[in-house]
Amino acid sequence: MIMEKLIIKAESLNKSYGDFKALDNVSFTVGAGKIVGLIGPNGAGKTTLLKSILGLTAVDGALEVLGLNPKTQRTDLIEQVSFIADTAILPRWLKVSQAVEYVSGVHPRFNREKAQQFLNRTTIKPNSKIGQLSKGMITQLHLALVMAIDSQLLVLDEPTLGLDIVYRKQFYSSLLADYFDEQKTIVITTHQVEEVENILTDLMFIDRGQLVLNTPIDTIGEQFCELVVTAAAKEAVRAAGFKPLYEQMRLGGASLIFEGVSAAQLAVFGEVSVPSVADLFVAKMSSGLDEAGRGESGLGGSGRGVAL
Amino acid sequence: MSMSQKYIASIKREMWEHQGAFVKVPIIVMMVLAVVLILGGVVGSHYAKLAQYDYAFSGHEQTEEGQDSRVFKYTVKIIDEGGDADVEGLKEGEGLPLSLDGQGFGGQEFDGVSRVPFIVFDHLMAIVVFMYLLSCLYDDRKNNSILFWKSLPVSEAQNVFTKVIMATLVVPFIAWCAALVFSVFLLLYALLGAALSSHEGAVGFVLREQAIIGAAMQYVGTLLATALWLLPLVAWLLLVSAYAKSAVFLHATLPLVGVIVVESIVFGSNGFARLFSSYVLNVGPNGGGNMMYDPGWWHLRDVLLSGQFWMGLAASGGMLWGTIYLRENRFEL
Repeated sequence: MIMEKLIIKAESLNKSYGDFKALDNVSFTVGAGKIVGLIGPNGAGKTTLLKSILGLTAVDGALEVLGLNPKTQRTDLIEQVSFIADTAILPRWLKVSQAVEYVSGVHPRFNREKAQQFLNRTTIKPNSKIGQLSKGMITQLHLALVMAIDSQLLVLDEPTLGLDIVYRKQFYSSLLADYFDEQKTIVITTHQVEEVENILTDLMFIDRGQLVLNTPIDTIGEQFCELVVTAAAKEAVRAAGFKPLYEQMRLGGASLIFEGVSAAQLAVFGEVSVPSVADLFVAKMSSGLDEAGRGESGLGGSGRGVAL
Repeated sequence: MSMSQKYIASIKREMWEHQGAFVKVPIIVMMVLAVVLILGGVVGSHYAKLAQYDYAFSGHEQTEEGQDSRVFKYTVKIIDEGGDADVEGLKEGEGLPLSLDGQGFGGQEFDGVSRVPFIVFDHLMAIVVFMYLLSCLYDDRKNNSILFWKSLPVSEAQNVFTKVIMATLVVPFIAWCAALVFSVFLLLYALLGAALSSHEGAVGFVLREQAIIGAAMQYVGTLLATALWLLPLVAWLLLVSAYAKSAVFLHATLPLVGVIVVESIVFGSNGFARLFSSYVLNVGPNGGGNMMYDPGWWHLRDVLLSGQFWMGLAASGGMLWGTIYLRENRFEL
């Protein structure tokens, strides 16, 4: 097997703010051509991890992005890494045409014609100031700028926060259609897991500074399964010694999520399926909380909607 | 992509962002001054005629508080001394004031007054630069656009250096251009007045005696000397702008006032007060007045030969390094 090209190589990353451990011994790699979803509750360390990848904050440990040290070789790195953060607000005084001109003046990998083509598809006027645009249009503009940059890694931190559903759908579909190819790598954090679930190749869960899951999305079915059972069958499952990672009451029964139990073993009790990323996330997070002895009440901050 | 391309794009960005302060303010001030002058001329000549005097410029001295005394002076001469032959005789041998030593100016009467536009616009733009420096590394942190700028391959060193270029070269150049344009306006105004004064030879006299080019050249030297001399002040304001999480103006001024007060209480001396004022008042290395009032290339030589400049340069280097460090490591409000 050919060694895949590593875009990000992180080994034992640590970062503390006082007593609070934002990153606790995090190690992972990301290969080229992947779309990685980095999912975690608020304050789990997602933003710290993204910032360290972008060289915006220093971390302990060994971190290489495209073979560069993000902190010390930031300017070189940023020529090949783009990012859109919900907090990276375009300045209100800048005109659309000026934004295009500026990026084309400072970015060697920016294709001005391409950006113009993307903008032509929108209703954004080149003479408008960014302050006059709607939130959705600003995101379209930012995306047009970023997609016209031929970068190897694109980091998206809650890129669709505050957008309505039309813009959110558009955002990901144009990203896939006009930008992504096997040479490019995308890392996304989002709270709207359902929206990105179908485009991800890899999934990373982060909780209280630790990576609790790091897996290709197509092997989730091998590791996890969801069993929908009646109340009576649920007792039978327990009696048979299977311990679910997480259970959720449903009308007339329950949905149980298992880790490391084969689907074949469970099929006798009820309907077995591959859990959705959102359900898996809740399962992983709450089991983590149980281990930490904090109970399920701590989940409140994650704000994840779970179907009952 | 060359480094210079990045700097050009970055300077454009500063011009876009601060278009109001850098472009509109000098244009508006210029227009206001022009309107005041023209109105003053009209009103002045009206009263001059009423009083049966024929020198159209006599009103200017009152309305512009001495700024146009040159015109007044020479008009009086024309009247006192009669015909144009006398005037030419008086001024013979004094050509266009192009010499760079600041001494051998032709039109002595015009010499002082031709500085006025430069003094006015340099002071105006000094205020603009002060406000620009205080806000330029603070605003993008406050309005959260800093992460957008940081998503592009421009280093903080380039960013900070761009601000230094803006404060020391670009904005002073704008002030110089504005002063030059206004000087040309004054010249046209004086020519018009001379033409209307019905004295033969007055127009030629004004043209020959104007000192615009000489003054402009002297101010190039002065502005370069000032740019070097004020580097520590520029670096200090940038450092504060990158450091402060609020109330930038107080962060910039209170520590300096504090140092002055402590020194005066503990040692009873005023060394820091004199040091700071040599920058705030733009007094060159040899003391005296603001370098703007007495322009010349010799300021550049004096600055380069002074120990204070080189120590200031080292201090500026340290402060700019600190500014870049803050921008890279502590940019979140």
